[in-house]
Amino acid sequence: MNAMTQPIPSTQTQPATRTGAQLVVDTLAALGVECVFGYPGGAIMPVYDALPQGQIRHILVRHEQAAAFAADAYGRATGRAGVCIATSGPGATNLITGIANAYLDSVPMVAITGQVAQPLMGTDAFQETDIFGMTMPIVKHSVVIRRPEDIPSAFAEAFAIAEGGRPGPVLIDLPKDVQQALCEPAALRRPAAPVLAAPCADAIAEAERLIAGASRPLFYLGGGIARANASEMVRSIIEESGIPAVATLQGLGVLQPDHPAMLGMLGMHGHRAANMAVQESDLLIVVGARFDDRATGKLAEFAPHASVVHIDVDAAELGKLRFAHAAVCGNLKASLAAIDFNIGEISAWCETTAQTRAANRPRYDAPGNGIYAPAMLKALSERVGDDFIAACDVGQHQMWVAQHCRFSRPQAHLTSGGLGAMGYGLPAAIGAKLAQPDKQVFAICGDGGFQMNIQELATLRRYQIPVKIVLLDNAMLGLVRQWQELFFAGNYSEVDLSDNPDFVEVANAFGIEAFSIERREEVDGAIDRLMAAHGPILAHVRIDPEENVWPLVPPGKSNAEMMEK
Amino acid sequence: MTPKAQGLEHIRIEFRCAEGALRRILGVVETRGFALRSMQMGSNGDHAVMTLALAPIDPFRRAETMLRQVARLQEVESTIHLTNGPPVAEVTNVAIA
Ligand SMILES: Cc1ncc(C[n+]2csc(CCOP(=O)(O)OP(=O)(O)O)c2C)c(N)n1
Repeated sequence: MNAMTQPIPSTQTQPATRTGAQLVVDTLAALGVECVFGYPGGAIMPVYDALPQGQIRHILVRHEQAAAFAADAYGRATGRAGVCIATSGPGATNLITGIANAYLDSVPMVAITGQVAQPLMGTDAFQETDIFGMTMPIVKHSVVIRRPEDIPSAFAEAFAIAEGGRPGPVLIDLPKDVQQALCEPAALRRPAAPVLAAPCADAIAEAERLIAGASRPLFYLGGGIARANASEMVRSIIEESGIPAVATLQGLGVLQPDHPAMLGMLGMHGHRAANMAVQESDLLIVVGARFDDRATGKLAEFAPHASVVHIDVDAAELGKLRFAHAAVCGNLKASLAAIDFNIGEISAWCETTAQTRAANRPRYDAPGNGIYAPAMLKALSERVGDDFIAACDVGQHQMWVAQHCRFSRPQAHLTSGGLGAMGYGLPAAIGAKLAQPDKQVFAICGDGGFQMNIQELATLRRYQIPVKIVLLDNAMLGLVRQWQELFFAGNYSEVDLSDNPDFVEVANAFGIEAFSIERREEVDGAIDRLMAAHGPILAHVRIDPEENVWPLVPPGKSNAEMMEK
Repeated sequence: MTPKAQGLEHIRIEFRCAEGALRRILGVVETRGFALRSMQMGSNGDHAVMTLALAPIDPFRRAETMLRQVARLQEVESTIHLTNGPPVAEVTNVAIA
């Protein structure tokens, strides 16, 4: 790997000899890290000993999983690797869910774990776990640092790998003796950004031929667009070409829901107009997406008439699940810039898709006086406007956020897509708010998911992080209940949460302002109060336990077989 | 995707000898649907070459697809599918993605 040499800025004022732990702190600062999320313990204590001497802000979470989720959200929001730190053993294993989350959604992250001292490694020592081995399938890369003098280069490389190409998590395991050992710090060698091969001319030519010949072309927008910071470029290509578009869960926000070309989210809880357009399309132009099964439904019946132009930074995604007639591999922006989106006559197609969209607009006039969560979420996102960032848990409320909220850009929608990890919402909102303090950050939580990281209310309180929590309480594990209703003959097994605690009291006990609502006429006032709050605040919103998410493609079925209310 | 007739696939992987590299590579091979039937490996301490004979776990697994996953690993320098077709040379220069 090519390397540029850059001195660590602080070394002139530091003693010539540094411990490994001090070098960790120096190097993080030299790499531009401002904020890390972590939790101390025996095997990482030297790093915690060195932290106060540096300039880096450390956020003490109350569970390591929250550190990883917060770092993940920080990475999604900024495009720079979020950093989480934990001790060996249980600290490290508590990070695993968050690392997997970052891996499956291609999020830049650096996870630092303490490890027992090298002579103890491999002896089943106290709090020894092979975190390096355990996380291999869920990291982009990982390393055990064996010598303190390797710390600067190993960290620089870890950040370059995490942020470069298709981003992902990198794990650094740091044995305690390496943190304690003294060494002469070498100049920081920052790896040059990897040079991605230019997209292949033949593939570009084939893509252009397919685009020019298509009469029912469709953009299929994925999370890779946000990672490549290519939203504006994609938007202008769509506007110039007039080609309609659908988006995956991670691709939402590239186009706003009211954009004339936007047909909505595709897939299991997708918009009918989006799923029908995919089924009828004769050309899918797939940008930064990977044909996830939640998006495609039954793969063999997905987009049966379509050729595929697949544009992605990761060669391993091309042809993995669906044959690509034109496989364009490389930096997304470079690939998009190289393709001439010169389209033929598609006005009839655009009209048909627009009509299907208009005929299937979601309705917000649910009967009764209870709070209809989709309507509340839509109103909330529209009132907050371009500053709206939402981090959700997983379940019905997550799908309602995806279906009904307006996002000004994909980085504003923080959702655990690939892993589908409950408990993501609150810690992710913390990470996002610290990354983007000028935005209005909402944690949209289910009552089940919220209780998976409820302890992070203490983190909100300690640092007075003005995250706004909307807790959609249906006293159920709602999405599981819905599946039991529809696919398990109403045999409701272990989904009842009617003995939930009083969430307002719980929040108050943590020192967080909180209030409850349950009638529709209370919604506007609640949104006002949330928006006006200067500190952290929780709105406990009681909703109908029997409400379902519609439409729904039953598991294993084609996207053409959507169930409606 | 059309199922392929099952038989052993032979692949060759060159990689940098870094801690964990072998485990990582074999993990990807297995997770992506291939059972290890035989293996030969040689190394000079910095670089290693191994050839593997693999049995796909079902008829839908394609060695080319799995090799692209292997090629993404930071330690991997090149991958070659020996059984079928030309070496997948284009895979190697995108290993950094
Ligand atoms: C960590 C984890 N455990 C289990 C699941 C399976 N699961 C998916 S949705 C869901 C129910 C979520 O309930 P809640 O948080 O109340 O949200 P709701 O669906 O009611 O909106 C469960 C248990 C999961 N996705 N993640």
